[in-house]
Amino acid sequence: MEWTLLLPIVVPVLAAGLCQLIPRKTEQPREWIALIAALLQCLVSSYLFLQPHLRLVLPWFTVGNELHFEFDLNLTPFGKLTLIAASVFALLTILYSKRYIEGTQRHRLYYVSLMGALGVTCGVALSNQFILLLLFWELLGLFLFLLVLVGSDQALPSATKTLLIIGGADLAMLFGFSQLWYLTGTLTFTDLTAQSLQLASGPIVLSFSLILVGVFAKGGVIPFHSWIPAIATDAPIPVMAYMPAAIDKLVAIYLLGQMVTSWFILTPIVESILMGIGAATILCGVAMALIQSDYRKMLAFHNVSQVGYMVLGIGTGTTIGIAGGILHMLNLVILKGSLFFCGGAVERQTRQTRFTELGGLADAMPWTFATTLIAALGISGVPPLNAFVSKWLIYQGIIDRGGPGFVAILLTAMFGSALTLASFMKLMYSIFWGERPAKLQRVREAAPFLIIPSIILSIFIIGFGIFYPWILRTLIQPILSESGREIVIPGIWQSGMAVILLVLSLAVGMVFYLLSRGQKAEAVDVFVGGEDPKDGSYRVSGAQFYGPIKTMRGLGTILHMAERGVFDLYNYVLNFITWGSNVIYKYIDQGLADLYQEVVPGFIAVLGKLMQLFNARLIPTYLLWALYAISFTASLLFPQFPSLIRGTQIIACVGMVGWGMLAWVETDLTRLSILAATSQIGFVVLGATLSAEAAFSYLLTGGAAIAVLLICGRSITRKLKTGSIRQMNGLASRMPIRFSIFMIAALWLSGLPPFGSFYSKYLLGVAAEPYGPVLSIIIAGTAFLTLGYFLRPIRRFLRTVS
Amino acid sequence: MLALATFTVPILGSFLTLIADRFAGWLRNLLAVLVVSATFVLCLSLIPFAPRAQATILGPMLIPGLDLSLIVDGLGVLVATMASFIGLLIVFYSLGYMGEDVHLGEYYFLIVLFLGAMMGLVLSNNLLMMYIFWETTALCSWRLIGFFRVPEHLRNADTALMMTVFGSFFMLIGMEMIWHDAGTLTLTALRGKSVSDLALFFIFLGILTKSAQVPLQVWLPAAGVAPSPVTALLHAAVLVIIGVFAFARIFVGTFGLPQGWQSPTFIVAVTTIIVAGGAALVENNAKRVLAYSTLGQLAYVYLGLATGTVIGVAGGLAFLLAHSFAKAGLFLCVGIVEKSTHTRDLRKMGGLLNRMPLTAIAFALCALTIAGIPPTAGFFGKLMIVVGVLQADAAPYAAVAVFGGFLTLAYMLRLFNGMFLGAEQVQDIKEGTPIMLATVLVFAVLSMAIGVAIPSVLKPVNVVVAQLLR
Repeated sequence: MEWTLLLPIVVPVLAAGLCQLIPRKTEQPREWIALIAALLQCLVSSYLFLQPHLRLVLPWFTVGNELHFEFDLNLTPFGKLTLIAASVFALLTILYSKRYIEGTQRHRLYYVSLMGALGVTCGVALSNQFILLLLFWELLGLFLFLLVLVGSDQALPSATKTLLIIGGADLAMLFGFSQLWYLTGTLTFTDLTAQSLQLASGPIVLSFSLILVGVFAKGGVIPFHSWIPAIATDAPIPVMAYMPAAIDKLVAIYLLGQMVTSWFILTPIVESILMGIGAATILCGVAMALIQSDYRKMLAFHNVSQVGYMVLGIGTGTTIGIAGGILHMLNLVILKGSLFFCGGAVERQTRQTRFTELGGLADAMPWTFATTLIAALGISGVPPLNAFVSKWLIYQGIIDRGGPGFVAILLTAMFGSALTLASFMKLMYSIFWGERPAKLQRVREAAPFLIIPSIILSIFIIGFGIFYPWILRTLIQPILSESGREIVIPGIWQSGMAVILLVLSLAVGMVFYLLSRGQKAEAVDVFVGGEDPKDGSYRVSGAQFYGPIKTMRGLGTILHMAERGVFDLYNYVLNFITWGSNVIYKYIDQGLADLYQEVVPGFIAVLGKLMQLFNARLIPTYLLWALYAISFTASLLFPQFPSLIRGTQIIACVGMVGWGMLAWVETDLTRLSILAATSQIGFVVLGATLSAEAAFSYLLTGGAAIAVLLICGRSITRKLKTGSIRQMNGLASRMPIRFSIFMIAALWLSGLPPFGSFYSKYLLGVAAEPYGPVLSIIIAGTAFLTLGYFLRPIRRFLRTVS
Repeated sequence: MLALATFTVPILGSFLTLIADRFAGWLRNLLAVLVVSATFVLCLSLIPFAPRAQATILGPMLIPGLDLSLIVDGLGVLVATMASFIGLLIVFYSLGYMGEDVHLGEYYFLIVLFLGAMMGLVLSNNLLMMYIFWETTALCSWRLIGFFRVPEHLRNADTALMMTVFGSFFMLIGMEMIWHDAGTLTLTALRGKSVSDLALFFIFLGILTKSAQVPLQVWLPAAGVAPSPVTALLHAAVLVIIGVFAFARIFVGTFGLPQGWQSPTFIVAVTTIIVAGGAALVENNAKRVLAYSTLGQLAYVYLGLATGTVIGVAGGLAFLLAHSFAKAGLFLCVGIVEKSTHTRDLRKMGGLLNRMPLTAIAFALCALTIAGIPPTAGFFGKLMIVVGVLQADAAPYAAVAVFGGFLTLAYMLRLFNGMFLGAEQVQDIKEGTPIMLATVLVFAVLSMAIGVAIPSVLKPVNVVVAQLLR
């Protein structure tokens, strides 16, 4: 039955493929396909949930003898939980999307990505090899990008930000896993579990941290959280509920749980760091949530804040803390889903998301109100709802662990709870209580499709809270049994301290709430001039709740800075990269381009011009010819005198390079040919000192080319009645034959293969080898100069005449 | 004999194309397609011989060091097949893209000759013979870059030629030194022989210029002025691969990387990755972005090859394969966009997704491969390269390579967003012609297919690696 492990991946992916095949405008069949696939997926996951341990290993590919990639799927208890949670949640999202997404422009993209995301999530939950896991994990990020884009084109910047944060973190993770492979020699998680790595040595800690970056970015843990608030205002609500609130949390906490419980053995320091990050995330997230005046943004920051509890719980390393963390993940998926769905219903009916524009909807939308209230109380940890249990377990975990500073962390977590309640009071007030704005008088309850998912989730919220022992036993205990841990539930009323503090936290929340109610009076406009105030102008929106915090010195400044993105790591990384890129582009890339295209040719040109001053009437050229002749004859006659040979070589080199430079700046075609010939004769003279064979061969090949060049140049000059290269634009089109001959002769002379003089130059180079590389470099350098000075007229000839 | 035909057919064919141009345009086009198809078929027919890796000497030594010797081995056949296939697709695309431009005879002559020289290069078993083909490709690309005969283009073409020739002249000196040291330039005879480090350094310099690695990268972005199919051919499929190929053949297969050269090679590669990534992030000319991307991605191949480990070399070759298809596809997509919008400036495009959906999809699929997102071969290739570098005990370089992956993702995203998403800026936009679209879609599908079918792709790659590291 191992092959059934493929089903949770294959079913949604096939459904995604089918959705893609259906024409864009035909919406209904697509919705049905998605619905049926999600139902099927729930059945498959339930079936797998009841199965004992299953593992499927299909060979994939091998590189060398060391790297064996396998399609290795393993059904772990945590995987089972992730599968079932993802499937159920996908089903609810699809139900909800029926009404929410219908008629949108990117209907097809939405369903394809939704189903694709479900498939790869199941892939992550089942993978037993890191390559496979990475493959699914990165695809999930891609689907998130696409789902955000479903919103509108305005979503582009935030979608890009999301993909960059998640993609960057995924790369860190890739590096971490690769390093892990290098350290342990295994790609398989079950083997990794068997090795149970102590987080003691530097490289292992590095791998752990890098993998953690991937997990944190996916889960939205500070400082990798900023994509969630960014997409909150752009992405469709079901996407917010489905991706950052559910799927991404599931996979992130799944992986974190696996890392902490199976692969690595945490040291107290790592535990403390994890707890610290968790606590910071809770506090920062909730503080930002508190001051938002848009419910989408507020929920997004809560999303960040709540994941802090999970990291905190798992970071304690105690059984009860980990159990609490995992349970909280499950609870949050339910709670956040419900809250987003309710918010979506309100948005659908009112077209508003800002608190200032909303209010008093409780009697217009009673079902939505009730479900929101249950979820709001649940997320604040009010007993007997679900998050109460998970938060309590987390607190208990912190207490059990003890250690330095645990009280501070505990208080932070509880204070976070209080602030959560406080901010949800703001949300409840702003949307459902208070006075209803005039514009919203006709608002009615949302369509059943938009409410039913929330009602189902509300039942879960209450059920998970009341029947928590059963949930813990069937869902969480099997996960921890893998690493031999046993959850011992301290009875509610025996765990005195945690509960007392919890109640205290609620009390603090109430105090906040009451305090804020007091401020209602301050915010109302005083009616001054005796005019008759219009109905509704007394309306106090909830947007200004906790407004005074913003004006507080210290805290207020910090929050303001946070809103401007001062604490957003992404901005800094991006700014740094942009700055660095500009520097690289301007100073390295363009700098080098200038060096090669301006400075070097310019330098040669300056040398050439200087020499030109002396060569005005070609007298030095004639002199050089005489010198050539003398030294050539001398070296042939008296080859036994090394100093004579040396002298000849020097004269030849000076002629080759010097007259090459002169040709570099010459503007007259005939003179250019003469200078080029002078430079080329140097090769023959040089050849005479090296090897007669090479000299003779060069005389033949070079001589032929020079003759052709001279004749061709002469014919061109005669035809055009000018020798100036500057006036020869577009010659290639007018005289194609002459041009082709000139070009081939020039390339020939430059020593480019397959043309003749290449072989002679090569022979010269070989013969020069005993004299060391300098002579070879001069030969090659002259050839290079030759190419340079011939390219200039050729460029002219080729130019199109406008 | 087959091997000889593989490069003589296109070289002779190129001259025939030039002659055919005198008679009729359609004849020339037909001939070009036929010759390139024949080359591809010949490459395919070489595949059964590849596992034996046999070298044959066809003729006597013509001048010192130059003997006509061919080798049919995994590396050569792999690169030849890939290049001829991409070349074939590019010729098809050109039929649509070039339309009825002037100098088309010259165009097809150069393209076919270029491919022929490439075939000769990869099948050569002699350094000097390799060099002759090497320069032939440089000359062809010189005229192809300046094909439109605009002053700026001509200048860029000259820069490209001068820079590559600068490198290759050093290479030639290196070869002369090897001839002096070892008395032969035949690769199979040189295997395992020791030659002077300076000679190898000169050859290395030539290779670096040809694949435009920093600090010799300038010519490649400048060469982007060429017609789009040419840039695809030069930047993606053929020209830049020559350098990588020569590195694999000379430094991995023949001499091995000299002691102490690994770190400098790594440094050159990671510097190129960063410089190319940074420049691509701020450049606004879409084709130049792709050109920077090319040199940056080639640096990954170098990184992989320089590890000298099975995983690294296999990763490098697999990535080379994936990159060639994907990058050719990207250049051709930009070609379609440019043809339609008459601009290469990212700031002047945008919102083309609705008007050119097929081009956008093809572009996105190819971009995924370059950015290394699973399940593309780009992902597997880069992963294997990183693992290989880690295996060579060079974790910091691996880290830079991973960071370069982030830059790649960022500039690819920027490119895609700038061209296809956002607000529409240009009016009257038409999708490309069917033949152009078909070509880019084939590239897109292939670059995806290489990733999905990575096990069957790695089988031949494993054979090549085994031959190289023997």
